[in-house]
Amino acid sequence: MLVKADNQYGGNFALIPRFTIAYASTGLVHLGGIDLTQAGVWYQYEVIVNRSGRLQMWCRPKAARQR
Amino acid sequence: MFAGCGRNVLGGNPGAPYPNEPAGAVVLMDYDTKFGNVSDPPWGSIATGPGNLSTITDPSAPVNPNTVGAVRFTTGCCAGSGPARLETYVGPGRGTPPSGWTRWYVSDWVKFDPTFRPDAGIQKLFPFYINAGGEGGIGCS
Repeated sequence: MLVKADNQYGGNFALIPRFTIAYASTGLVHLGGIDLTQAGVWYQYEVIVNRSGRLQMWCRPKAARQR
Repeated sequence: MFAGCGRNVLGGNPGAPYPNEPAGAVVLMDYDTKFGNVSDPPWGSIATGPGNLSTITDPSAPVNPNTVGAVRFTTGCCAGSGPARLETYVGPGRGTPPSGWTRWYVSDWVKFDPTFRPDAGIQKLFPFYINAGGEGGIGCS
């Protein structure tokens, strides 16, 4: 999975991306790999865009602990 | 193909099904992905081709199993544009926050079909943008 931030629209939204990762899992987690896009698995993506420019993102498979 | 369903709110509610939704957030858009009959609101801009969007039933869906939006990605399809692009803006029933917002929360459920192959470069699913005029959006492409 790729998370990308652009600010190409004149600076109206002063987007200064900050990505942090916190997860709890008993299994192997490859952020940036295929583990978050496995076929046939429902994933919930959550994003909070803070006006300060801070971005927060979570991803979890259905009925699993949050990553 | 991927299928999904989404919710946009303005404003942490630890309760399922939206564990990271900020406490006290105001719902802007709680969309059940009727992709077979897209409309405005919530979508202020709809760009797609015949058969690329549909509404299906999926008993495994965590929410709204009888109304699941599906997007068809044919082999080699449409680099740079995608098979469908749905954008929502500021306004009643739409998902982009009005001026004065502090936090913008979006949640989507997505499942990838076994035949789905992402683009070798970038596959956009939920891009956020705000343009120079102060109008913003979230889309799927």
